[in-house]
Amino acid sequence: MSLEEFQKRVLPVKNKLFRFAVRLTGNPEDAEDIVQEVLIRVWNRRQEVDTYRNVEAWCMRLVKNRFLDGVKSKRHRTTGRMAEDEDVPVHTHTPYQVTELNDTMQQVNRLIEALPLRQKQVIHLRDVEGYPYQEIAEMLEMDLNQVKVNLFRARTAIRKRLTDAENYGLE
Amino acid sequence: MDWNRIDSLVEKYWAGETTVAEERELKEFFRLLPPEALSAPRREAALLFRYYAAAETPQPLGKAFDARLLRQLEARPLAPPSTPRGWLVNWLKVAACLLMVAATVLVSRNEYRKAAETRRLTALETYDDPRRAYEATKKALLLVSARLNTGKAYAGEIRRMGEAEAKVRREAGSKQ
Repeated sequence: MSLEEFQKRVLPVKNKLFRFAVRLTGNPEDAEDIVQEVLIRVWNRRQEVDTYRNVEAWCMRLVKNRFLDGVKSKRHRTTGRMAEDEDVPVHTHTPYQVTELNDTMQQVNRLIEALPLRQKQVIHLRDVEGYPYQEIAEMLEMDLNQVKVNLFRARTAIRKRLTDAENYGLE
Repeated sequence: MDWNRIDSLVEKYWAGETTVAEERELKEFFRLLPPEALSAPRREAALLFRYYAAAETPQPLGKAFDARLLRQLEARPLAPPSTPRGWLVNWLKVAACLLMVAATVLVSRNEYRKAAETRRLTALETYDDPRRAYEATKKALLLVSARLNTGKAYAGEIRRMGEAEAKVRREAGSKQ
């Protein structure tokens, strides 16, 4: 793959990767580092690019794995262990500070941030980015049913929190 | 504005039954609709879909990011071909274990079959009726006894030859 081809086929996905990385890290600076590392890794393995049916899904998977590797090594340094499905605490920054969301939007953002990691990943990829279930399953290396279950739980939790907020006032 | 359709799509959405296209339709519908103008539960859906619509638009990585990245990529040679991946090695280990288990099962099964065949043949040569067992034993012993004295004549000749040799040795010894 030439550099020109890389610019046409891989580089346009950078902002989707970035938005996903922001969702995971909660921090635009860390997210940018992850995206840059992932794109360099794809370039280093450019001979393999054609073997992947869906390059975008591959890149998303690399972002997720790079994030988890970072969290694991951080946990390893502090506690020595980490469970894959544990909820991962994020920075105090809200990810969409980079956008001009008003207060209400920021509150919705916080509802999503409060979800467990898998639910957060699935709802971002489906409801923000609009990927089909099958692609999300490839990106997150999950069973199709797991994707649907996590999405349903995420939506149910958000609906409940929105209703509570409606009844008792937003936090 | 068809609120019936929107309300039914929103219900489908909460149930996890909407398609990507229907979710796109909801995003587009609520994108420009101020939630404050709506009553609950439409307001909740409006908040959420406006958020989704807003969250998919940021394009913060622009040309400066591209230029920085491309400078790094140009300096990088092609990585060497990748070695077998971890998962492949793990699967090979599992396959080797399965092979060992299969081989053990096959050998054990053959041994068991041989033992069973021996037991079967032994059972065939056994009698439940005492009279038949007596007859068979008598027949076997008669067969043994008929052959028992075969070769007795040859044994006698060999004994005589042995005695003659001993006699010759004794006489030769006395002359000396």
